[in-house]
Amino acid sequence: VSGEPAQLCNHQIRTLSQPLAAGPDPRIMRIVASVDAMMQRGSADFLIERQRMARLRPAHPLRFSSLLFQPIELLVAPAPDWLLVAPAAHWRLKQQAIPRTALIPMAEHIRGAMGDAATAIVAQIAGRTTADAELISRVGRSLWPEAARILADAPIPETWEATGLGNMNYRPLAEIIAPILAEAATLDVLQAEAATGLLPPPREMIEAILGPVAQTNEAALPMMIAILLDRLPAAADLLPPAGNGSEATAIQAALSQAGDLLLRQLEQEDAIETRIAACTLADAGAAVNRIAALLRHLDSTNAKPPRRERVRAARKRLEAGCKARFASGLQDDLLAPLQPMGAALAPAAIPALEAAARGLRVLETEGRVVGSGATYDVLLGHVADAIKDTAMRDRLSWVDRLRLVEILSGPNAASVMLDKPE
Amino acid sequence: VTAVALPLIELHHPTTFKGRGVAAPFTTPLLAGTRVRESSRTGVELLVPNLSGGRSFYVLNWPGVRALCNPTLHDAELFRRFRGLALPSPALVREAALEVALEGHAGREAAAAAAVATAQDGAQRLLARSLLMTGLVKQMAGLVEQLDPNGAKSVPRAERTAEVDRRASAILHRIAPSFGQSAAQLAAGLTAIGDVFAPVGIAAADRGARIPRLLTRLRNTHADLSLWLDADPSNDIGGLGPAVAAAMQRASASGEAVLARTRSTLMDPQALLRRWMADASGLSALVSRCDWLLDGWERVSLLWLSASSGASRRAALLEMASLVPVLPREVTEWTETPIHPDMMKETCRVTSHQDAWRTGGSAFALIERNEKLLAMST
Repeated sequence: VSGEPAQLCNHQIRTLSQPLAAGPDPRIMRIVASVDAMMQRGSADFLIERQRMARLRPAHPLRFSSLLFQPIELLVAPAPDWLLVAPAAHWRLKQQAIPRTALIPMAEHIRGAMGDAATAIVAQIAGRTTADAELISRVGRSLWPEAARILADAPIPETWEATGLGNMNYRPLAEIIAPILAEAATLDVLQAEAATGLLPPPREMIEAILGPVAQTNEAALPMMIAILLDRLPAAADLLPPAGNGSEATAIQAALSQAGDLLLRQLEQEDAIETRIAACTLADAGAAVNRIAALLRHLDSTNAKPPRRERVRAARKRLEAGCKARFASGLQDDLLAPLQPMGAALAPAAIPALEAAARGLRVLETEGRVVGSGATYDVLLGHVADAIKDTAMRDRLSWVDRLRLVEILSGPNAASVMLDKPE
Repeated sequence: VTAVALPLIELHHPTTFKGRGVAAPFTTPLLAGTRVRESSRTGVELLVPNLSGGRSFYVLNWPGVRALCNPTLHDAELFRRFRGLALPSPALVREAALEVALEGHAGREAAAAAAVATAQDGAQRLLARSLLMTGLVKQMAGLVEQLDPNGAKSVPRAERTAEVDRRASAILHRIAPSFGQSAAQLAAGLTAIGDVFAPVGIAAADRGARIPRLLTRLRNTHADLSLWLDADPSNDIGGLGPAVAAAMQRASASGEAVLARTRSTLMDPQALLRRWMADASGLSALVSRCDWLLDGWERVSLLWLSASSGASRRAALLEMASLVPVLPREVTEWTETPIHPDMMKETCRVTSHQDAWRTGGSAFALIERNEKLLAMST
């Protein structure tokens, strides 16, 4: 894992990744850490299958570039064959995706232009990981607007040639990324507020974000709307209706393209499953909620039958992904810690069990919105019965069991248990 | 909710503290702001704020509450204890809440906090009894230097306590005939006064007792909230921030005034003892005014203190605004204490179209948050 990064073809990647697929989790985690330590990763990211990575949820080191481009992560093209082989020959603006190879030269350029401010940011994120959402949000709010300003004006970075994208593609890419980064901090706040359930996004704020882009940067508008809807699906109802001026007409036209872009993203192999699986159990419910809301928007009344069919298929995958995440969360976060029978669990382990139980219930609640609840009923019933069972007496105190049953099966079940002490 | 046949609705501007009821620290999100009060029909009843944020309250018994929402086991256990209360008061409701928390129904963190609070209550009672006894001895015997509770350097602590006890006993025997009581009855009276005064604290500068601690928390919350609002005007939501901050400042100032007034009765321990022997319930009621005045404010303060990010603070502001307590008109009878007239008016109102933010999947996080608030409670 040292020296020049290798650009491998699909056949070579498959040959290397097959033995890894059967490897144990700790070995995979060591390989991920080694790849994370590489300054230039080349094709190394593609050696381990995405589903496996999503299940293991390794925390990657937070670097300047990953922090910088976190707001456009949705748009960064994954790893299609063309990107590995000959990116410059195939990338086109209409693909509405950002080639990953463009990111490092841009990040280095921005870092150089920011000087001491960038050095301070690098110091702040040293030793932190991509799982540190609070830090990303806090530090990003100072980085993203400045990066947007630099990208909007800067000439082609010196290292751009290494991207293989050609000089003619730099400016269009920069002009797509810059307005998104300029609004990233605002979007971040709006998303955090919407997550409380009490503060829906204000219409005037949505208009203020999209208005200038609609006027000056038609190419960036669909991607900007896609980012907006991915983070704030409720914003779909706040967009100005067509016929409400030229801006509104442009926004409605871009909305359709954004819908296609989002649907394409969701249709990629394991995309939905990965999104749900990559979250912690506590966040998985919110992820399902956002995807479900997005699908509702994509399935709006004026959607054509082919799109409706695609949305239906995506919803089925969401339902399946939700159930799969529920089952793995139940096993990994709740049942596994309870398994070695005999000794009592350490008191410090109880809050994690309760958090897992809450996460499962939130996921189940969201899962019922997109599909049948029968699986959840059965699984929750089984685990609640296991916790009620006297065999669990040695592992958990009476009141800990009572609380877990309450979370998993509701207060009535806990009340019945309370009325019939062992 | 719409399918439930809701019972009595009371347009609620309370006349008396008893009618307003006591803030109940329920953990069920839909029961936020609920108060418990005495009921001639059912023993106790609950006043559940109108779910849409309107002026009215639902007057419910427990089955009514269960028709409205699915209360947590913690809340069911808390209500079970409420049923045993002759007349709910802030102190008794707090005691009931500590008992339920101690049993673990609000989680381990709340149970540990309840154990600490219970121990602190006990220590405050012992301290109050001791200081009251010392005060009486000082007053009657003119001992200042040696018996000053802070004068440890002149007399060792154990000797000092023994000396106070000896002198107190002598004094109680000496004054008992003039009270028409036995020395033992006076001693019991002093102990009871100490217990009643423990939450407000005996020493004039005591900030460690429960009520002064709550006032300090309110003041700190107000300072923090004001700073946050000043730092960026866009932090506010429709003027709610300044309205809540102003109400909090009024509550804090009035609370300090009532606290000082209550403590002023301690200046003359002998007169205080005489008053107690003549009208124990009257003196208890006087001392409990601090509790009644500040009832409901702790939750408002804790909502702020538990929110750290900008988004959660703005959301907390909406919840806080809907929980700001309104004082009943009975408070105007406390003529000797300055109470700001705006404390009897509704500060602001937050209405909502729907309850999605506190039902379904969102309810789990809010229950957890409410349990954390219990763990932070004084």
